[in-house]
Parts: sequence; structure tokens; C-alpha cells
Amino acid sequence: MEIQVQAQGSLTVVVLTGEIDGKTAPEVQSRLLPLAENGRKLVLDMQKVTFLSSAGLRVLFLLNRAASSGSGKIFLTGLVPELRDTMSVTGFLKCFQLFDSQEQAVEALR
Amino acid sequence: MPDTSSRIDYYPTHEYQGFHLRPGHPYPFGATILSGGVNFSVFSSHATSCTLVLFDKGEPLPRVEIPFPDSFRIGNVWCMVVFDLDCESVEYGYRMDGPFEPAEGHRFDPTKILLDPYAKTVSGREIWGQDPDWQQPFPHRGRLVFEDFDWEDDRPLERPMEELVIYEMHVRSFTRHPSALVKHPGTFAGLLEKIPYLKELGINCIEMMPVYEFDEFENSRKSPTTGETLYNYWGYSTVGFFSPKAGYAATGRWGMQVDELKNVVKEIHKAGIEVILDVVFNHTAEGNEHGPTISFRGLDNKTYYMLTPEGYYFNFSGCGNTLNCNHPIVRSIVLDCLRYWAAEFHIDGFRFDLAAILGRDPWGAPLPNPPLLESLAFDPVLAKCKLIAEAWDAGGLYQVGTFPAYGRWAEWNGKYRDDVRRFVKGDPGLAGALATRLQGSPDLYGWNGRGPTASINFLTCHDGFTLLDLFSYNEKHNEKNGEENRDGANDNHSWNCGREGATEDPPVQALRRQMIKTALSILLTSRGVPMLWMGDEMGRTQEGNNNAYCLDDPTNWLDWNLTEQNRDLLRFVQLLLRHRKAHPLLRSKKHPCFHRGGFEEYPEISFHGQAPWQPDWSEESRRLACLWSGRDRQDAPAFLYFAVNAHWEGAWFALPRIPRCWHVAINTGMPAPEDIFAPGEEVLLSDQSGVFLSPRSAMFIIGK
Repeated sequence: MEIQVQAQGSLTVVVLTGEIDGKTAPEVQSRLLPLAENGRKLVLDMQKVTFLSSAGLRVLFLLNRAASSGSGKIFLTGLVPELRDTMSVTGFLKCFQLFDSQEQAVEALR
Repeated sequence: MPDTSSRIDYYPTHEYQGFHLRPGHPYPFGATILSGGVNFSVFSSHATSCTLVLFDKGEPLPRVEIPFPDSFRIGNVWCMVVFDLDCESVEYGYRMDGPFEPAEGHRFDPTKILLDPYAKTVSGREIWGQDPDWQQPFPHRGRLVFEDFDWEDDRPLERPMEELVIYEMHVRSFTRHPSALVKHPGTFAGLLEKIPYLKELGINCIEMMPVYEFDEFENSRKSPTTGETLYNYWGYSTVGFFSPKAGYAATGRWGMQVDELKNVVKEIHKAGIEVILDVVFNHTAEGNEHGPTISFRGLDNKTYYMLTPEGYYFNFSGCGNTLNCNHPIVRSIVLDCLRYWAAEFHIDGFRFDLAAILGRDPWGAPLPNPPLLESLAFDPVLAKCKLIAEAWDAGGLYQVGTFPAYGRWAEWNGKYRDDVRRFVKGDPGLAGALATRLQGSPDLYGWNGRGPTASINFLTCHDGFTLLDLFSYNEKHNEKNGEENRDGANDNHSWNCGREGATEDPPVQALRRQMIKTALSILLTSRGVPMLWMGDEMGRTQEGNNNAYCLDDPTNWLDWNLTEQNRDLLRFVQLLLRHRKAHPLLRSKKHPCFHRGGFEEYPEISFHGQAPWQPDWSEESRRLACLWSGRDRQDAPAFLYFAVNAHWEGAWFALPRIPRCWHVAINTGMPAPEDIFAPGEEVLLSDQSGVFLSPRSAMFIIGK
């Protein structure tokens, strides 16, 4: 699991690479939860995420909750179709605002 | 936010082969995720020792076997917290040691690894129909579940019972057919895509055939006639009472069936539709003494099963064993299970398969005041759930009308089904019975104060012919089941309309269509709770198979092309449901009154024959009409006249006089689209003095 964090103006862009499952979810949570809680807009680039387990979905949801309890917000970009489908049938997808690519998100949220 | 790591019990006290442990909590039973660890709790009143067996997901051999230290046992419960487990990759089971003395009821076998009866998900059958590893000694393994689904503001809908229109369905059959055109055929996710269809149809409750984890390969075999694999397709044989069937979830392979089913319930609720589960507490998948040891047999055989004095299994279920439902321990697992589904899955109600068994004592005798049924009826969590009994069992106990109800229980009304089928096919001597069924069966539910909502009215269900087949076959045709047509009911009260099976003969086809509409008109204008069987609204056939429990093929799969081929029938049913919705008179939770209760001097219900106010109750009578009178939703006077002519000859029915004009809503003797008019678009009757009913037809006429 690789987590790259970069600030782009008022946005924080996070590029995630690998699988988010029971083993890697705690790391994602400990790195990103402070960012979500500080009220920033967080763009999660999911293009290189190849698998989201149940625990992985829950980390995303937790980040979303943490962000929206303050003034922050989470955006997902570049979800591969399989992940999008899994999120859809388990009801997680509609909690998030989606963009096709990181660039689109940055453009729209600038 | 409190920091859970500041709790004393956040830290382990014991260690075993590198695994950190501490004494657990007896409650709740099962495996519960805590901060830092997992609490495992399991019960046996006769075991002498217990070992927790942990696997990495899918691995053939255990990662570790941790014997419960004796100091971790409280009473008959072994409980232990294991720290630092990856909740997603761990699979678990138990070994129990104790006596193997079948004559005494004990069948402990420490060589077997046992499934936790409280497991919230079960692995081993994640992908429907994928051939299992038959050598696997521990095929059904417990897994852990995150119970933090985001329900937002959803909760069970609590629709009044009298408003319900139930649609019984099989999750896989509903969208498995290629014509369903869904992304994930045969799954909960597939059902999600069909919610708009159900809403448009006008039902407001679906009853899912079993969705608890079962093994479709239980007793699987090749059909001697077709060579196809025969499965435990319907699923009336439970492996895990707390776990949704993984093979019904598009995400089952990733262990997300809990979230997927919860999401379906949430979305169905948004459409105003309730969800009832068909639950099978009368037996388990372990069969008799020759069956597999999966869970209960090895945990506490003597407690969980009804045993003969010699230690063999009583077979009131017809499936090898009988769950010992009125043993206090079994009662609490049933209660825990239903509470879990109501609280965590927001399930609106339950239909209990062979529920008469739930009223038997541990030796099989029927109890006058069965503790289990009473506990369920008075449980605080289940207080608003629908409780519906299939009020009979395979041991000969038939309790339709007498099921111990405690003011809560409804019943599948088998007498309704039989009487209406026989009347519609033209049997003599049933005019009186039909009158009773239209009123919500006061003979069964009047004397005891239960009222029409105790009566689930139905013509067809998964057991038996589809509605089209009811009028296409005189005999069952179950050869495909591989039992030489011996299985399934012989007493179907069906009539093939002159040709056995499918035919191109237009008059026969038209007659069948008309019979279906006539029968459905009776169902939807009767007091009580109507239930439709999946696909009957579009003329589904099972080619005469009246017991398709084992077929994973188009016999069971709903062919969605029928919505086009039989568009007029579908339209008829949609409008018929709207008529029921438009007339509260048909849905009262009380039986109607013969003397008063209608508009001005009219009684709430009156019966009529070809002459008004003169019903023909004679043996040869095959015609009956009734007049409902009262007030409708806008408090305006309401007059609803419903007439059935089950005779093979047409007949003139003179209409009773009312202070309004008669308008035709339904005439099943007419071809579509004149067979039914939408509520509000009923057609003024040109001759107000009477109507001609074609042979084997029904009319619904309203005064306005």
C-alpha cells in the first residue's frame, strides 16, 4: 500500500496505490484521518487501487464521516469499474461525490 | 471521544502459541469484534472441553487451535477474547469433546470442527453452484462481520397488516433468467434493479424464500432423465441461521453479503415495500444420524434435537431431524436470531416454515401454550414484526385456524387456497365456503377474535402449481425432479381447461387467461392479506412441476419476456391491485357485519344470487355475488358488487338497487383491455338492472 499526499491550494490530493483491506486499512486510516478531521477538502485518487475489502470500504466511509462532521469533504476519483460496482451494490457509493479523474476534481473544486 | 485503549480489558492477560488472550464475555454468544480483539463465546451443556480453531481464509489446515482454559468457562459457556486478529481473513470453528453415547443423545466427536451456530457469515459456498471441495473436512466456516451499516433514517416500515399485499419470491429465480437483463443475475444486487418493477406492480411487501446460509449441494445429484445437476435449490435446510446466503450476493466472494442484503432492504424500504423472510426453524441441514456433522449435532445434540427414547431423530419435518424448539436453549437461539434480523437487517416480518413444529414439546406432543410462540409474540424487539405461520407440519399436525396466536400470529390460510381453487374450477357445494373466504374466513378467525388479518389469503405459493399451471394441468409433472413423479402434492384442485399442458389452441388459451383473472379477482377482493406468487402476474409456467425444489433452470427462473408476451395479464394485475388500494372496505381488519354497518340501511356485506338478495346456497350452486357497502376514503358512500359465475354456462345477474349508478370496474369475461378499467375510469353500465356474466367469469361493479 502506497499513500502519497500532496497539497494543491485548498485541496489535499491523496494518491492511493494497492489494495485496501484488513491489513492495510489501519495505515490508511492513521495517515488520512487527521487530514479529514482538519476540515480540508480531500481528493482521493483511487485509480491505482485494485481492491477494496469490507474493511477498506469502511475506512473510506469513516473518513467521509470525519470530514463531514467538520467543514471538510471527501471526493473520489478514478474508481475502476469493479470497485465502483462493489460500492454500488453495498450502498457505499452514494455517500461520495465522484469524479472521473484527479484533474477533473481539482478543476471543479478549485 | 473516549479512548478505548484506556480500558483495562484492552490488554491481554494470557498467551498461547504467540496469540494473546484474555477471559471473554459469555454474552453475546458468537464472535463479536471488540476494540483490539474478538470475543468468542459458545455454549454446550454436555461437552467436557472446547477448543477454538482459527484458519486463515481458505486454508485447508488451521493456523492455530486454542483450547479454552477452564478458567475461561462460566457455567456452560466457553468465552475468550483473542487479540490482534485480522477480522477479514480469519475463519473459525470449534472442537467439542464429550461423550459419544447415541442412546443417551450424545454424539460428541472431537475430530470434527464445528460451525458456530451464531456465525454472522459463513464461508464455503460463496459462489452459487461452484463445485465444492468434497474432501474438505470443515466446509462451512464462521467469519466475522462489521456491524456498522449506515441505515441513515431507515427502520422497518410497520405497515398495518390489513394494508399488505405480499409477493412471495425466490431471490435467485427472480433475476437469474437472462431476460432479467440485470448486471448480477440471481443475486440481491439483481433484485435491487427490479425494485421499480415491484413498485409499479403495486405490491407492498416481498416475502423472500430462505436467504439464511444453506448448502445448495446438500443431497445434490444428477437427474436420471436429463443429466442436469439437481440441487437443494429452494434452500429449506439451514446451515447458518444468522448469516445471509453468500451465494445470493454479487459480493459474496468478498464476504460482503451482509452489506449487500442490508442495502437491498434499505432501498426496498425507500420504495415503500416491506421485507418478510421465510425462516426454517423446524430442522437443520444435518439430517438424521447418517447426515453430516456441521454444527448442532457436535455442539449439543441432546439439547438441539428432538430425540426418540433410543436416541434417534424424530422426523416431524420430513427432512431427517427436528429442531427441539421448546427447549429453553433452543428457544433463546431462535429469539436471538429473529431479534438480530429485525434489529440489524431491519426485516419487517417472518414467515415460519412448518410452524406447527414450533408448538411441539421436546417429545413431539403439541403444547396448548407453547413457550416459544409466546416469547416471540411478546418480544419487545419483534413487537411490530409480522409473524406468519405455515400452520402445519409433516408429522400430521394441522393448525389452520387454531395456531396459538397470542393476538399476533397470522397464518397461511390453506383452506382459503383449497376452497377458492375448487369453487373456481367449478366444483359443486362451495358457494357457502366462498362467501366465508371473501369475508376473511370468520369460521377460522372470528370465534377467537383474531380477525381477517390473521388470514394470509393465497391461491398459489412456491409449493404447488403456478397459477397458469393450475389451469393447464390436471396432474403434476415432476419427472425432472428425478423421483419418478412421486414427489409433490397430488391434491391440487387444478383443471387443465381441456388440454394437458401448453397448447396453441386459442380458445383453451383464452379460457386459461380468463380463469386466472377470475381467481385473482376473488383473491384481491377478499378480506384478509392477499399473497401473490412470483410471476403469476405475468403467466409464469413450471410446465406442470408442482414441487420444483431442486431445479436450477428455467423451470424456476422468472422469464421476463413474459411481461411483454402477457402484457394484458400484467396490466390486469396492476389495475386489480390499484382497485384493492382504492377501496378500504375490502381491507378492514374486522370481519364484515350482515345486519348493519353499510351506507344507511345497507349491511356491510350482503350476499346475492342471480336475483338480488337471494343467494343460492344449494349444492349445485356455482354462482355467488356479494355487495359491500360502507364509506370510502373520502367518506363518500361506497357500494362494491362482486359476482362470480364459476358455472360453464353464462348467467344473468339482476343487480341490487342502490342510491347510486353502477359502473363496471372488472369483467373477466371480456378480452383486454375491456377486462378491467382503472380506478376512476369505471364505465357506466348501460342497463342498470343487471349484468350478464360469461361462463367462468367474475365482475366487479361499483356504485358512484
